[in-house]
Amino acid sequence: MKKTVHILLIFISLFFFRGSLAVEAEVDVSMQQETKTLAYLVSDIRIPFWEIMSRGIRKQAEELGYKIEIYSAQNLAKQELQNTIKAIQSRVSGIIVSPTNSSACSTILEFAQKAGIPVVIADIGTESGDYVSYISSDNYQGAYEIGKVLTEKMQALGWEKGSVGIIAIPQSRENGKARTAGFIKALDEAGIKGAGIRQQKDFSYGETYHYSLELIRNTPQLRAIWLQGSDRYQGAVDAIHQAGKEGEILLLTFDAEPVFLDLIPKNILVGAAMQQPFLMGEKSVQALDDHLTGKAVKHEIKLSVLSVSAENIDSLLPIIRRNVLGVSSR
Amino acid sequence: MFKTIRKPINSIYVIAGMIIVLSVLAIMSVSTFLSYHGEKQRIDQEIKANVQDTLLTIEEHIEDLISSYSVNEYSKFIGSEVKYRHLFAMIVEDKNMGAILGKKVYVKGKIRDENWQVVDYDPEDSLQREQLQNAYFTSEKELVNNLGQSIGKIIVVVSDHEFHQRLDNLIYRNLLATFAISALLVATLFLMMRLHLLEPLTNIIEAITQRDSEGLPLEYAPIKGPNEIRVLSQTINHMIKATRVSRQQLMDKSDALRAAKERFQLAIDGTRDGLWDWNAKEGKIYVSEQYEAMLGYQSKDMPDTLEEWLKMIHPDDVDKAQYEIKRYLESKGQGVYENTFRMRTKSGQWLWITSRGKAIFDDEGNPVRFVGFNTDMSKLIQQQEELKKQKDLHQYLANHDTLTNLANRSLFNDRLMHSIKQAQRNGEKLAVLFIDLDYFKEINDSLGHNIGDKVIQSIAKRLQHLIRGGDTIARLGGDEFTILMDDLPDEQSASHIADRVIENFRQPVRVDHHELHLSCSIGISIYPDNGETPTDMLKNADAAMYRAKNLGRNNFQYYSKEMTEEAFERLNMEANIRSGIQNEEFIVYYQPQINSSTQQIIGMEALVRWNSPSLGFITPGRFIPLAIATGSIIDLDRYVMKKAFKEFAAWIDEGLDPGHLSINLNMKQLIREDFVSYLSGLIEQGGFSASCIELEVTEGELMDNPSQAINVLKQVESLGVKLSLDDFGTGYSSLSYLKKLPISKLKIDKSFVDGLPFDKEDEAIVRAIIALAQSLNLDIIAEGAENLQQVDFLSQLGCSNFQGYFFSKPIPAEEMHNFLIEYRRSH
Repeated sequence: MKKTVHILLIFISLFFFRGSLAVEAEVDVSMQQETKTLAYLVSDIRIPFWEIMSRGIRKQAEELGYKIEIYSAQNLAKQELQNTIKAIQSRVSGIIVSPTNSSACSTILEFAQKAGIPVVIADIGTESGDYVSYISSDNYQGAYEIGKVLTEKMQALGWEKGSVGIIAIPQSRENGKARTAGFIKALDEAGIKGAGIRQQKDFSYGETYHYSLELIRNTPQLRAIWLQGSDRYQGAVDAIHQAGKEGEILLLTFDAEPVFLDLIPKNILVGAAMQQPFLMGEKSVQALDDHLTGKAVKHEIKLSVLSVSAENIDSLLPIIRRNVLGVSSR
Repeated sequence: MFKTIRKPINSIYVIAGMIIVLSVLAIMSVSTFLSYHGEKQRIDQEIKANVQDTLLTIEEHIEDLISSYSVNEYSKFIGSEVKYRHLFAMIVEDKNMGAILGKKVYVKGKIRDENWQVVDYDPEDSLQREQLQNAYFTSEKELVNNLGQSIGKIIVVVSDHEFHQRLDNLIYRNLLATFAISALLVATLFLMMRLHLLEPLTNIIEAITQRDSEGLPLEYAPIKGPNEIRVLSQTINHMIKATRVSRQQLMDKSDALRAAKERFQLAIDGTRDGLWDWNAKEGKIYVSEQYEAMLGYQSKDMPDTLEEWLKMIHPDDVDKAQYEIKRYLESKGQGVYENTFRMRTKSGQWLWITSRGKAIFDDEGNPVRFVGFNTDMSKLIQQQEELKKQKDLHQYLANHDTLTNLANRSLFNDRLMHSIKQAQRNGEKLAVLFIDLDYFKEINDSLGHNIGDKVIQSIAKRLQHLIRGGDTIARLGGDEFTILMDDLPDEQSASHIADRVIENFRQPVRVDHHELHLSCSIGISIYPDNGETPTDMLKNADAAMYRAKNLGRNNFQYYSKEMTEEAFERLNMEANIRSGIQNEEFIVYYQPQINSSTQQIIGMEALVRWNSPSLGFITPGRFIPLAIATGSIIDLDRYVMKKAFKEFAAWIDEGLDPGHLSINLNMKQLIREDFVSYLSGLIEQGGFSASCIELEVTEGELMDNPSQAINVLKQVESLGVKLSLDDFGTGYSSLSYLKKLPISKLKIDKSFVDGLPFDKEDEAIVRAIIALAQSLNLDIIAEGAENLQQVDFLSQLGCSNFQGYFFSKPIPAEEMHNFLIEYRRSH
């Protein structure tokens, strides 16, 4: 099952970002001997979010005069360890890691620590170990604000008595918990009831479709569905269509896809909470540089999540394009 | 010299407690020791088994994590395993990771530090390595991947920390449990032992500890607890009971012995009898102090041999005394020895002694001991003699008249009975003479009883000289004497004695300074002609005597049959009087009383007449004395009073002015307690003044008991009733009494009026009476005025009130009513 998910993710990434095919290790050899080298250990560069982030890292590294070596593990633990050992053995000055999971991050941090190499964690996080800084999105804030977008919309439509269903990422994850808590807070403040929550397991289209249809059928007063991930939004769109509830059930997401720039204005999507991976990459390099240059660095840096709706999409578009989609940097 | 060292004696509670505690401690120590060793082995096995289980449990998981290169995951996993399975260390040798690092294996592990905290294992740390080498138990397991290729090893290490910790816990728990169980066991055992053994024993001890002065328990041991203790209690109780019974028996015997001894001593002391104790074998006689005192001896003087004793016995009694002793001893003690004889005292007096005793004999019948009492009977014998004399005297007094020493009625009756029987057997005749002195009552009344008694004594002596030698003379009482003449040759013989008696009475009796002339009336009854029993003989002689009285006294009369008929008539009449009152056969007649000077009716006297349907018209002279003698005069008087008062009241109411009503009453009536109230009740019923009533009492009756008469008459006078003295002059009135009597009128007796105006004696008496009345300021009335001469004569003497035939005979009420009317009309 895991393998199927991985293959599917790879396929989707290739479809949207043909120009940024992932390489296992892209090394700027020209700068290697003169400048310090930084390694970016990423779980899977084929995933657009990490690919956009790697661009931010690269851009900021270039600006600060570092060489950057990117090690994609292809979402494999063995590969991730091998990348780690390889990076350490190549004596990089610092490591930015977006680990396959927080547990694996602990091992990476352990080896890095033994080798005396500073590490900045970009998203995901670690279970244990020492690092310079952990840079992540403010999931709670983002979920709360997109919740506010929804509640205001429902109030505008006079649907205050309607309820809202949630299709969530696993709640064992810290970001999952934070997203749910922020969104529920917004609903509570508006006095709108929740209609139940379904947790994603395989992150497939069918799963999203099935959960959406189930929420619609089980909840007659259902007036909105919020997806905590963006990549399977089509499943929810199709379910609403299938249930004949188009125009009667609103749809929102956390994270964004390029197509959202069209869907939000069309009100197919009411709104989306958008992380800023490009900005996160830039911040990671900056933190590492600050550490290497002896500056104080915040141990944890939270970047805001953009709450995008039809009302503000136009004004946020430049930021979205740069920090969220990394389009402008291309 | 040597002191005995006495060990302190512990209470059964202490001993029981020590036994229980030591036993429980010993048992629990052994039990704990065995349990500890068993548990130790079990823990050892369990720890090792756990290690093997751990390896088996985690093997596959670790293999998966190594295969998936999840270094951090298996690092966390073994950390938690070490922590929660209480292991000392767990080490993973990861060949996959080793390959990445270019080593044979990558070693990753967790180990306990000195604070028993789980820390990372560092292969370079020599201390950790040494700890691992010295660990209590180590086990390892080869790890393989899905293809069966070795991917590493897992090593599980257990230190003795857990082992000791668990052992320490075990010891602690065991000790705690042992202590708790021991305490519980000790408490339970002690409680049970106390409840079922010690307490019953203690109760027994408490019960039998309360002892009396002789050490015998006061109470019985309680029968409680288990069987053995109950048996113990019962046995103790039986012993106590048996001891009590024995003691009681002993006390009873002792008491009885003491009581017997005391009784014996008291008997000896109390009876004043003399105890003698003759020891036959020694021939000695022991005597008590009382005995010595009885005979006037001191202890040393008292003879102590039988021979000497016999010498002290009166010569007349010594043979009999010896004989009685011999007879008793030969009888071998049958019955009681008893002997009466005289003994000489030391002073030479003779005492009458009654000796009683019993002897003890040996197997051969020889007396061993002879014990008894000697009682001084002298006083008793003397008393008996005196008693006999007194008895004889009483007997004499019982049969004789104390005044005259003649036989009394009782002895006379006995002798008469005896003589009748003898006469009956011999066909003889006998006579009873009943002698009654004439007018003896007057002597007693006038001269007093002392003189009277002396007269009787003198007469008795005279009579004793007059009778024959074998005749019996007796005084029956008062002035009545009887003479029994046995073996009467003929009836005339009795008259000879009677003549001699009457003749003898002609001689005056001289008593003190008085010379009295007496006569007697004698009645004679003859056996068997006039009766065959003493009662009949006496009764008939009495009747004959009455006849002699009636015939003028101073004569004798033989009994005749007619005398019995007269007596019968008297009895019959007595009964008729009573029935006559009830049947109202008595009629009240009235005789007017007239004042000759005024020619007015001053009153009338009520007189009773009896017209009996069976007996005919009976004169007052016949029934009045009889009514007085029998007491029926009370009812008769009241009957007359009631009837006369009623008729008199009617005449007053009619306005006939009847004057006063005079009624003659007997003294018996007057002295009745209720008479005064009865009289006042009648007056009240009549509705007239009490002064209209005049009661007449005869002078003779009044003078029988003047002081009582005065008392009664005063009460009557206090009612307002007038009193009149009837038949004045016929008795022996004392002028001193006359003065004291509350009378207002004298009534001159008819006997003095009859002879007027010719009899000078009567005239003198009447003159004296009238003068007396005038001097005492009394009214006077003459009764029995039958002619004008008498009326005139008496009027001249000063008596103007009359009652008599000259004016009117007694007439019935109806005629009196007419008389009142007619007399007033004509005068």
